[in-house]
Amino acid sequence: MSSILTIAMQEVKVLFRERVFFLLLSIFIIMTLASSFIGLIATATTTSIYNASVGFLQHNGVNNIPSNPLNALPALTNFRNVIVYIFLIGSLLAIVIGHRSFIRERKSGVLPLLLTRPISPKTLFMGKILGICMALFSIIGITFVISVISSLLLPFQHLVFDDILRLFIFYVLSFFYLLFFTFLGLLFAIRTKSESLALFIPVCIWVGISFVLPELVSGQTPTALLNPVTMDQTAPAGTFFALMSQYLGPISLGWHYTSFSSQLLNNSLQISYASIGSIILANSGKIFTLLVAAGICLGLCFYLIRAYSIQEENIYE
Amino acid sequence: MNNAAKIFAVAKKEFTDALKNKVFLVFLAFLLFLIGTSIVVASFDFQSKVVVYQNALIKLKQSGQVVENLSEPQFFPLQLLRGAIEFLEIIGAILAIVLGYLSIAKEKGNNTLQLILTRPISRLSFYAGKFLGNALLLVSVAGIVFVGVTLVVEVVGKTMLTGPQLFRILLTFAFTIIYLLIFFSISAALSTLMKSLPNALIVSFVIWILFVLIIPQIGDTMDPDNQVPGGLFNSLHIIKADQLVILEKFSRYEKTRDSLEQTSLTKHYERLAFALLGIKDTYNGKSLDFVFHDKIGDVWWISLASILFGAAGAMMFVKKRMLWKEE
Repeated sequence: MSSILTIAMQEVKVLFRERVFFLLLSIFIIMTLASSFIGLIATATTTSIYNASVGFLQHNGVNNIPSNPLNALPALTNFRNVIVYIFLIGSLLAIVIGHRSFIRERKSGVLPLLLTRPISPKTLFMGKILGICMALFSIIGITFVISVISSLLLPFQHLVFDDILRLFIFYVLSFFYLLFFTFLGLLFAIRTKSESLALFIPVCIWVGISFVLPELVSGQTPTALLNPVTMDQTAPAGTFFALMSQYLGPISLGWHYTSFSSQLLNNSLQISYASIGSIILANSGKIFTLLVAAGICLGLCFYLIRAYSIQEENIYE
Repeated sequence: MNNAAKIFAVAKKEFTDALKNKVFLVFLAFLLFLIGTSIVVASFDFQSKVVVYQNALIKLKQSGQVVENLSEPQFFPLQLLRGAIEFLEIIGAILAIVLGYLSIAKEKGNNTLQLILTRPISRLSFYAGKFLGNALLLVSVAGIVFVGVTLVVEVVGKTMLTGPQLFRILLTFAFTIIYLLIFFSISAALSTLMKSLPNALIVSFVIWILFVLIIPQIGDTMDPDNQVPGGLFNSLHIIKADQLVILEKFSRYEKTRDSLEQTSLTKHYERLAFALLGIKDTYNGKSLDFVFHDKIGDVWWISLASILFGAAGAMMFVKKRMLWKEE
C-alpha cells in the first residue's frame, strides 16, 4: 500500500511540475473563473435589452408582451459556460494527464529500471491510477471552490443550498467524464509506439465523442453544440434521427455529459426546476454509460500493463 | 540545380511523404467522413423541418385558422454546407497542425536535417519547399473536398448546382486553404522553436482550442439573442429593423463582443465562408460584389495572418541555431 501511495504522490508532484500541463491547467482555471462573469454580463445585458424592447413595443401600442424568459432562470444558469470549458479544455487536459503519466517513464527509460525493482507492474499501475485520480480530483475540487467563491463575490448570483448541491453533483459527474479521457490518454500511451500518435488518437476520439456523435444524434452543428443554451435541444423529428438516437445515442458520451449537466444546472428553459432526484433518475442510463466507458478504458489499461514487456520499450517521437 | 528546382524537389518530397503518412491519411479520411456526414445530417434536418411545416399547415387548416403567417422552409443547397464549413474550421485546422508538426518533426526526429543542411540548399529554400509542398497538399485536399461536397450536395439535395453556386464553393475553398495555412505555419513554427516535439504539439492544440473553439464560443454565448432558445427577439415578435433600433443603445456591449470575436481568425473565416455560401440569411441571394464589399475586413484578416504566420515560421526556421534534436 505504501508503494502505491509513494508512486501516486510522485505522479502528482511530477505532473504539477510540467510546464505544458501547467499552461493547460491555468487556461482551464482562468476560464472557469471567467465563466460566471461572462454568464452574469450576458444575462444582465439581455435583461436590459428585454426592458428596452418592452418600452419599444409599448410605445408602438403593443400590450400583450410575454414576460422576460430570463426571469425564470435561477442564478445557477450563470455557470452554464463551465460545462463547455470542461467539455473542451478539461477533456484535452485529461488526455494530456493520462498521456504524460505513462509516456514520461517510457521515454526517460525509467520504466525498465522500475520493473527490475521489487515492484510489480500491478503496483506501479495502481500507483499511477491513484496519482491520476488525485490530480484530477484536485483540479475539479479547485474549480468547484472557484465557482462557489465567485457566486459569493459577484452580484445576483447568490446560490442557495440546492444550487450548491447541484453544482457539486455536476463536478462529480465532470470528474468521471474527465477520468474517461484520462484513461483514454493512458491507454494509448501504453500501447502506441509513437509518442505523437499516442496523443493524436485520443484527440481524434475526443473530437468524435464531442462533435460527431452528438451531431448525428441531435442534428446540431459543432458550434451549436458549444452554445450552452442550445446544447440540450431535442433532436429534429424523422426516421433518420430516431435511428441515430436509438443506435448511437447510448454511446454518445459527450451528448450524455452536456445534456445531463444542462439539466442539472437548470440550463434549459423547458426543464427548469426539476428536482435533483428526478434529474438523476431520468439520467441514470447516461451516468451508467459514462462509468462503464471509464471502466472499460481502465480495464484495457490494466490488461495492457499486465502484458507489458520491457522488450517493447522503444518509443519514438 | 537552380533554387526554384531545389524548392520544388523538397515540395515534391513533402507531398509524397504526407501521402505515405498514416497519421495524415487517418485525419484526412476522418475529415472527409465528417464533412459528408454533416451534409447528410443537414439534409435530414431540412426534411424534418418540411414535415413539421406540413403537419402544422394541416392542423391549422383543419381548425380553420389563418395559414398565411406560416412560412414554408426554403431549400438553399449551399446552406447544407454549414456543418461542413464548421468541420473544416475545426478539424481542418487540426489537419493543418498535424501537417506542420510532421513536416518539422520528421526531420528533427530522424536527425536528417543536419545532413540536408550540409547540401547546397539554404535553410530558407528548404523551408519554402516544405511550405509549398504542404500548400499543394492542402490544395489537393480542398480539391477532393470540393468534388466530394458537390457530389454529396447534388445527390442528397436532389438538385444540380449552377455555375455561380460552384464558383462560390470554389472561392470558399480558396479561403479555406489560406485559413489552414495559418495553422500549418503556427504548428511548424512551434515545432521548430520548442525543444520537445510533443510539447510543441500540445501547445499547438492549446492555441487551436483557444482560438478555434473558446473565443468564438464566448462571443456566441455573449450574444443577447443567443440567451434564449429561439432568440429573444423572436420570442417578442420583433422584426429585424426594429431590433437594430433597440440594439443601438447597447452598441458598446456589441462592440466589445465583436472585438473579442475579431481576435479569432476562425471567426473571420467563418463569417466570410457563411457570407459567400449564403448560409447567413443576410447574404443569401446577394451578389459576390455585395459580399466582398461587406466582408473585405475578414478577407484582409485571414490573408494578412496567413502571410505573417508564414513569414514567422520561415524566419524561425532560418534563425534558430540548433534545429535538430539535441542529445
